[in-house]
Amino acid sequence: MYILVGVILTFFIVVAALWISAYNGYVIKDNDISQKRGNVYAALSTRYEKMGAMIDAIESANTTVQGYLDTIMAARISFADALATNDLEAIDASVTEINSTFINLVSYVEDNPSSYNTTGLYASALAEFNASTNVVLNAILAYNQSVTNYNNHIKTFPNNMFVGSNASFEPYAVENYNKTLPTFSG
Amino acid sequence: MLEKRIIIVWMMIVLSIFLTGCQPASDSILEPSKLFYVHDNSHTLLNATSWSVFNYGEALYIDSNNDAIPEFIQGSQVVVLTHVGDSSDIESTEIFNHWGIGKNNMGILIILYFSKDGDSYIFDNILFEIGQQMSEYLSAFEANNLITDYFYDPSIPTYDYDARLISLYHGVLSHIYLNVYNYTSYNHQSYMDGYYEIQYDYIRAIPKATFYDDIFGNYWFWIIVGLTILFGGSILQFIPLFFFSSGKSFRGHGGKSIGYWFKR
Repeated sequence: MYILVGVILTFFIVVAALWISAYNGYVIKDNDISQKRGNVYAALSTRYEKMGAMIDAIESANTTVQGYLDTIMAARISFADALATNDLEAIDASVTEINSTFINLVSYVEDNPSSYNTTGLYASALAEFNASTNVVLNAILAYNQSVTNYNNHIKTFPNNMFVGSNASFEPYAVENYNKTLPTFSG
Repeated sequence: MLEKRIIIVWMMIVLSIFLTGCQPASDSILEPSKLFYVHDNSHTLLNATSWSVFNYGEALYIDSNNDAIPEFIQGSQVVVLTHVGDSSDIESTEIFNHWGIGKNNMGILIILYFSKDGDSYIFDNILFEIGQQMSEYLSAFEANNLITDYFYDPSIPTYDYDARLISLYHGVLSHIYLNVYNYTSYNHQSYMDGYYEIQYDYIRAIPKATFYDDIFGNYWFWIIVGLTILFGGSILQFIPLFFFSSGKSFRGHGGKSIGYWFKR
């Protein structure tokens, strides 16, 4: 009788310990993701400020450039609105829009050096933009590492029995950040 | 009996050295040099260039720890690293954080990339990475201007990358002294004049990091010391190692970078 009680008690203690461990790990990792995602948005916001400085360095804009600038401006407003309402999908959509358009803008300016990139102001703005892009990339890599840790935690045994029903996170795609931007002459 | 004990103790010492040596380097990240402020394994820089960087780098660190300076911006360090080969071989942010450049995140890492053509080195690129706190006082925009003004100073011949580096180094120090620590002047030209006087002199050998420098920071060493004492040995038996490892090593002070760098 005592043996049976002991076995049952031990079983429940082990299950409770596993549950507590799985749940606490889930909460800690979930909070870590929220914090890292906040860092990504903070880095992105800073980067968009740098974009403004770089756009200011483009003194005259033709129709193509103006089209890019208008798209970026509209997407930046969408980004700010989405941040205010914490709409994650809209945030990601506007981020993708801004970054892909900006890369096109930089490439266009680089392809037309006589018109746009002869000033020192432009070169320094590009350095600033590159540096802030690297900060974003760093923040995204940290976020993705946290996402991997979280997903591994909730999907591996025995944690999956206790917290496996929670949704997993998708890592950030980095296609607009890891591109080597055009360089400029010294 | 005494001889036996001495043999055991010495076997322990040899074992500790062996086990310490067997430990892999931490994830193969480049370790800082013994002078810390300049890391030039390939000897791309002139002897006087390395010593100049070291002397002025250490002077900045000492000056920036003055009690009159607010604590949160004390401890600036500017480190120069040279690399021969592909720039993708090394990860600057990883190195910055591993070396802990600067106290209070007040560090800067400058990497010069070279390629080799026969016996000579060809300068390729410069990478500039700014620590988290330092970025409040020096933006990439300003750093790029410093590179334009000092590294690409048209009065310095293109081939003389030593002088260009020293010019940039003093340009960066000038920015820090004047804008971070509110000094009233920094005579860049007089420092350059002083450098040109010694540029091709051999000051003295650049000290190299040895195996013994790191032994006291290795847990295997202290386990063996503990076992030795347990077996009746004396800590005095390890005194020779203290002589081998003597010589001051300069180091970083925990500075972090969030990846704020650009290459040009």
